[in-house]
Amino acid sequence: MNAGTMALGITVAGVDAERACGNKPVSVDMTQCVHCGLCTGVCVSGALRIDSPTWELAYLPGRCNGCRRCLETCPLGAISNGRS
Amino acid sequence: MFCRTYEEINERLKAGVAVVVTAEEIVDIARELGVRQAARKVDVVTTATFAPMCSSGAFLNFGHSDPPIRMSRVLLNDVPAYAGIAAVDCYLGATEQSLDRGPAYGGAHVIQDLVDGKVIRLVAESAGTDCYPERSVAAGIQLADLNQAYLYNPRNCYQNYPAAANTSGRTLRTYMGTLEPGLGNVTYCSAGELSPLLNDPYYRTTGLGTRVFLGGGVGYVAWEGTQHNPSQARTHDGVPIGGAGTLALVGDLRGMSSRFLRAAHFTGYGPTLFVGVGVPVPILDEEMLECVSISNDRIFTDVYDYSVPARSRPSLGRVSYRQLRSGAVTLQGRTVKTAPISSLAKAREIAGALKQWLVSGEFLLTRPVQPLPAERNVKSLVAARKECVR
Repeated sequence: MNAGTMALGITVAGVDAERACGNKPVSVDMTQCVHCGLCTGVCVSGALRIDSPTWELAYLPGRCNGCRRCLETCPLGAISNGRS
Repeated sequence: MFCRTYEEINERLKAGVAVVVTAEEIVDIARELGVRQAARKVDVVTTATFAPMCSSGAFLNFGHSDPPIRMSRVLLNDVPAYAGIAAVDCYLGATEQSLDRGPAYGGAHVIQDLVDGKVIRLVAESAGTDCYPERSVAAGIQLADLNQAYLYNPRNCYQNYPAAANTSGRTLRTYMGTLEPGLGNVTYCSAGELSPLLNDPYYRTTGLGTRVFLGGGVGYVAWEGTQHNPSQARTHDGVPIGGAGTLALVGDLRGMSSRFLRAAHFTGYGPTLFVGVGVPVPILDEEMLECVSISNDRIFTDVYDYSVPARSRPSLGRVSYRQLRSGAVTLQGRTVKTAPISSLAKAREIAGALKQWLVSGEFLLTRPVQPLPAERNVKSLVAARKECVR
């Protein structure tokens, strides 16, 4: 994991990240994130969401199914492949 | 009738006794105290936005080389800049793409790199003239090396903006983000009740010369923004439904920060620039307080279907910003999730920073030297038929 990369390590019961798409959960570099929220619009697993009331991005890697849709959507390049 | 002047507010700011709150805070204050009391209590309300604003760019002056050159072609980190002005001036547009790195790096990235103090590779060419004999020059430049480097954004701070969705069977990659097929999501781009021009719907206090927070530094409203459209349909509160007023903003890149000026790349669209803007709204009277107390449940926008490749896209429905911010809206009988593009977290940071500037007395209000146009319609381009174009 790169310096500055946030990984909360939260696993949500009933969601197996690696089985869903065969990929590892993505990594989110919160030092690059501006909390625009665009990634949440394509996240089907609920791993990426804008938290109320702070309106900052919250990432739950345990929920990520590795679909990678957020990678190309993030305009800041803050999301990358997780460790293989 | 209660009223106060710019001069009175500035005196209170300098004395450190002015009451300054954000456009979110004033909503609750107005509900609690009522408009009459709130207007007497609050001197200034700060508004803000942080969103991709493609119509942005910077004028740069490099200084003269020896022998001098009239630059006719300018590349900055291989991003072309417009050089059809004086000898060593150029305008670098945020959405201009790199010749070698493609859409992932563009003018916006060069601007951010300049602000971050990085060295930029300048390559300039010319046919050569008797007065400017040099034909090519290359240099590594930094922001500190330039005579002038100022952001000049022809269109920022759209007063409102339609939300976007996609009813087609394929994913669309747009400047409104990734739009999932089959009405899979809705994206929207406004700070809502915190957004500058939604708090000054008829441009009473925001006009030419208004001093603003721009990219972390101080800027000014230079002109009406391009496509300024005050004649947009409005609610009974005076809030436009859809794109309406816009601002052209100018400010020195020196003093700005990539915390509030961030280059971005929208897949399938290209580079753009997230710009942080904060505009102070002086509470001159109760009417002004009424304007700034607008809340998300009273601000509406249409959701356009971006799968229709036309200038006038069909509306799939009208929703409030309260609904958009709830995470889902109902369109055509379906619940569709929503995602913002404009960062409310950063807008709040900007509104808070501007509030501190004002409270400390280091940032005073300016009275507009000319109002923005209150009536104007946006014209469309009538394209010639292709067989007529020669």
